[in-house]
Amino acid sequence: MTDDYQANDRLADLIEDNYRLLQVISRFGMSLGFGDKTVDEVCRLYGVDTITFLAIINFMHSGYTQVAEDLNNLSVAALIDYLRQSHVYFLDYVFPRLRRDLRIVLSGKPENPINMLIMREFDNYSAELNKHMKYEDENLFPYVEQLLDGHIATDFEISTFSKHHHSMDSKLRELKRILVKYSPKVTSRNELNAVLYQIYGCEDELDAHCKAEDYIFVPAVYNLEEKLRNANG
Amino acid sequence: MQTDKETIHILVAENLPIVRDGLVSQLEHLTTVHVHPVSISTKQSLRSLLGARNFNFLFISPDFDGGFDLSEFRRDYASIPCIAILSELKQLRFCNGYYDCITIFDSAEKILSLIINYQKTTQTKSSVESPDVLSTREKEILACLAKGLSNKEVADKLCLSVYTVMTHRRNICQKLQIHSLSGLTIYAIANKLIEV
Repeated sequence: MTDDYQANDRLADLIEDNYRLLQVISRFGMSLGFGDKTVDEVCRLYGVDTITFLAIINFMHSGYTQVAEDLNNLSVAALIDYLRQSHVYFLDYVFPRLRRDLRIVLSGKPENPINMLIMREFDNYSAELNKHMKYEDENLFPYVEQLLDGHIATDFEISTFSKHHHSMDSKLRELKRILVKYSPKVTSRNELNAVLYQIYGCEDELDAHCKAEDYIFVPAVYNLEEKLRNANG
Repeated sequence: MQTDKETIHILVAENLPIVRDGLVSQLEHLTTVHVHPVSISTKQSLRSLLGARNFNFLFISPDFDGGFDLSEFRRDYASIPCIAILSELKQLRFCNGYYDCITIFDSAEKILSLIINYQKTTQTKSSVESPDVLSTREKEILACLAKGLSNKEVADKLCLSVYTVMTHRRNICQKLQIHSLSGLTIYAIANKLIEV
């Protein structure tokens, strides 16, 4: 059981309470250094919809088990911005950094074929993640933006997407398992552990991202579709 | 232990926060199955979530948010088993039409057996866990795959049908919990099934 965070709570207190909220704050475009400002004040400062921001952080804070009471109040446009920024974070920051660090750890001499195959496994996974997120950026979000403009497409609906939407973390888990079980001996054991910590962290963040899509974004879009269908008779 | 067990998605709709959060907590901590419970407190959220995604179970209080219309739910979502959450034993008479019911006096084991029993009745293929030790034949096939042979080439080499090779391949992936060719090759090298 968790108490929900409120608009008049101080944002700095929230982070002290649950540091994982940091990822949400930066993806909404907010920077640290907000002093004693409340959630609502910081949201206003950055032009972020407070209710949507609270829906995401409270869902996260509940361990992804409590969904906001009224999803109709959320700003779908703010959710799209948030999810797009998450994609940028994973594709432009997390994975290139992970690849660089993994490459350094596995670059021992003589060149071991297993190292090469682990890198290939990593690259295959990254390519798949890239495809998954690009599909959402280039197809799903534009579809929802059209809904926001009042146009409903006849050849696509959000439930079709959600039924085929899979979390990408099981394949990452497989990569992690391979590293734990079959990594050749490396001299830089601490560095390999550090890479594994990064992968564990990345897995948690991907899971959080995917659950926000499944339980907040997709139902909010579903409501939007319903409203438009009802309005169009 | 973290394996690739399929997640069971459960929607919990209950008015009383303590019952709702308590049930979610019990579901999260069930052993042998991996459950992701999500709780809601309004009919509006119930409608949005059911419309937006698939759930394996709905646990709901018959008087949820002013009264739950079971017949309407069954018409729209016939495939989702609906389990009544009862906060008093005398409410048992409200259970008609529900797949099953739980009361606040039930243990986590009762909830677990309810989930497992339902899954047994609906699963078509057996998910009996096989030991993660490869047979000699499987090792032979894995070695060929790791050397870069296609399913057809493996079949020809070992005088098997392509279908048999594919079945072995599927079993190998399941036992090792590795599904990519590069991953399988790593296993083959690390376990000296092939020379490099």
